[in-house]
Amino acid sequence: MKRADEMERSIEKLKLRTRRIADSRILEDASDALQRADRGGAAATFAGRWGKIMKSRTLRFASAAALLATAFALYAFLGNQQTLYARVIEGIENARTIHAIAKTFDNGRWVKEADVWYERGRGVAEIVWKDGAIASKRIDDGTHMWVYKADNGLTIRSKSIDPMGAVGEMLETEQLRDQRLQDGGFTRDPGNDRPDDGQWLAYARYGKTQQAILWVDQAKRFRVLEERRPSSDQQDNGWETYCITEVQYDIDIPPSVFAPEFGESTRIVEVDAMLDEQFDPKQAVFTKEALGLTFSVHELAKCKGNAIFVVSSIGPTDAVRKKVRSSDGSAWNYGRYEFGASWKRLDKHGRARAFRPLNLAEVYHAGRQIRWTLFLPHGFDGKGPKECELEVHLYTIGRLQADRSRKGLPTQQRSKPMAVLPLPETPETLSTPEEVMHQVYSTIAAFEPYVASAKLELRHVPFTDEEMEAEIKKHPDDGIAKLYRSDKSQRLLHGRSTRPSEMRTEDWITDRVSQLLEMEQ
Amino acid sequence: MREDRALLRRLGRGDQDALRLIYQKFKDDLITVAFCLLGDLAAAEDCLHDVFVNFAFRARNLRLRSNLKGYLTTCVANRARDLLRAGVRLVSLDGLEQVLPAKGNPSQETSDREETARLVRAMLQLPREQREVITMHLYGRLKFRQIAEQFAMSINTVQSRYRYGIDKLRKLLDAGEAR
Repeated sequence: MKRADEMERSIEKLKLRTRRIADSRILEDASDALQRADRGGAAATFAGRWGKIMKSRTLRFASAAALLATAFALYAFLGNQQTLYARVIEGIENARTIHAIAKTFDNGRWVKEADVWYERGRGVAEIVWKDGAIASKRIDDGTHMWVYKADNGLTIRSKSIDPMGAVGEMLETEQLRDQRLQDGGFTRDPGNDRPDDGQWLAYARYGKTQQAILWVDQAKRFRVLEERRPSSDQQDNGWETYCITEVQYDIDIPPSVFAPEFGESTRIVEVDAMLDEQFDPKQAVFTKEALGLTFSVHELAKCKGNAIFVVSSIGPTDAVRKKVRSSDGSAWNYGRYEFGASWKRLDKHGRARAFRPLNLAEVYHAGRQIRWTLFLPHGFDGKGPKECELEVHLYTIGRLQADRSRKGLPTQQRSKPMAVLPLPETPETLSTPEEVMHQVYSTIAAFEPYVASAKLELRHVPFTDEEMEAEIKKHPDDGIAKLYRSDKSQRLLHGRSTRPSEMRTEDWITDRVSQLLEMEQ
Repeated sequence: MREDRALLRRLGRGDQDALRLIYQKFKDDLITVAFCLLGDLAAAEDCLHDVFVNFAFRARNLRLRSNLKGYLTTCVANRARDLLRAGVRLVSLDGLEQVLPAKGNPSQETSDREETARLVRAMLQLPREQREVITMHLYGRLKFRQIAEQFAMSINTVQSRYRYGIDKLRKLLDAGEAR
């Protein structure tokens, strides 16, 4: 055995114990926080989560956590019983239609969370319910996909992404293999077979905090997944079912289920056309071509406190798009960009000025990267700068990069500056950076359902301690050095622990505003 | 993992039992990570406190991309970083005696406790970056790739830090410098 392995084992064995007094304090405060979140976080309803669900491919098609659990459970239960597993999958593959309903037990009653209809050759329709009404609906017929959201009344139409939806998830066994290996422990449990008709067979997994029972009918078709948790009620051996997914096969589904009709008040938006309309380089404030990419600035505005708000984008030129094909809207095959600070020393006394970029959000779809950024000018007089200087780092990626590398052409470029843009005349009322952030979030929330990727950006962690020390020695008067030495230096590192998709909007806004205030100091 | 996801789902619905179960399941690993990074019991407990309070508050909107243990370990590492950045230069080993494991056999207990204390002291002599990578990999079960993504650094850097850390730890223990 290698000595490194021995060392690793010793470290793994190292285990300290928390003190009881600490346990009670931590649990008490965490419990309070959970209750506060319950009260204050009511806005984060299922419909609110939809946007987040839509960002994950796995979750997007499952619509509801219970349906996803079904897919996992199916493989986990049956993956180690090849014949039965094959029969169950075959049953799904051969089904003409499938209808799955997910319900949860909430406040003493069963509440329907989601419906999924699938018909071979016709596509999939998925509905998420909230308070008995449709919160969102996705229809994919293999040619187009429609996503309707009740909270904004919009229906987004785009190219088809997946006409099988949750049903496809069940069949994607490769993706679930790792999951199966980790879960394991699912066994046939004759004692649990349905006693009333004796027709359904149970496969169960037992844990200390969770039980799951999968019901398979005599034709070896998956029918029901029950998820159970410990209960104070001793009626059922101290367990209660809190989540159920039921599946029906080969029923007749009314054609109206797959009809992309969402009521008269809804507006249908064409995603590709909308992006073209809003981020057309021909209508941009500024545009420049380099490396086969077109960089554009679509909006430039001053905010209170001299901050500058910029909406910009990059995408392949028409010639490159024709030459380098990319059929998948989520594949990064062309380019991306980052902003620099346009830092410039003004005199030998060390005075400098800069436009520090604070990236707020980013959208990516079909080769187009769109960015919302606040620039914070430093080193200018009280009235702030009259022009905005943009330092841009362009990078080719994917197929375009490979193509250029093959030809011996440069694959990246730093332009300092790429553009010097006069700031527009001051309007009567300027937005505050906080207002701008809220606007950006609303925009991103509207984009989320139908673009390949939409995310809020958190501050990043550019330095190790040593690198930071070196940076401070190099630029002792720079703002970042002052910030590092100040009491608030930890803010430089804050944020990596929470990824954008896991963060509440309010937290994100608070985080960014804090950073903004610190940068302005 | 599936059990963790189920617990998380219950927590998202405000289930206090799920919170207690998650805490009980991971607390010892997390306090070990926090102590190895901070070297002070009070600070390590504060770190764990902040992480769990934040976790409970955000549980409703949390969507895990890795395993729950890895996620919580990363949170602890980040919070410890924040504390150290804020100027909390600890590594005093205060309180170590109180969190060392207790065993049934008195002679075994003494030997285990001494060994654990020796290892903790040696860990605390490593640079913070190396300690972070080692604890996240070995306690959080995070892959090097995941750690690299978390800290926005290359996977080579992460692997190097891990390798150097393990080598140095072995040298420290061999040379008895950690005693």
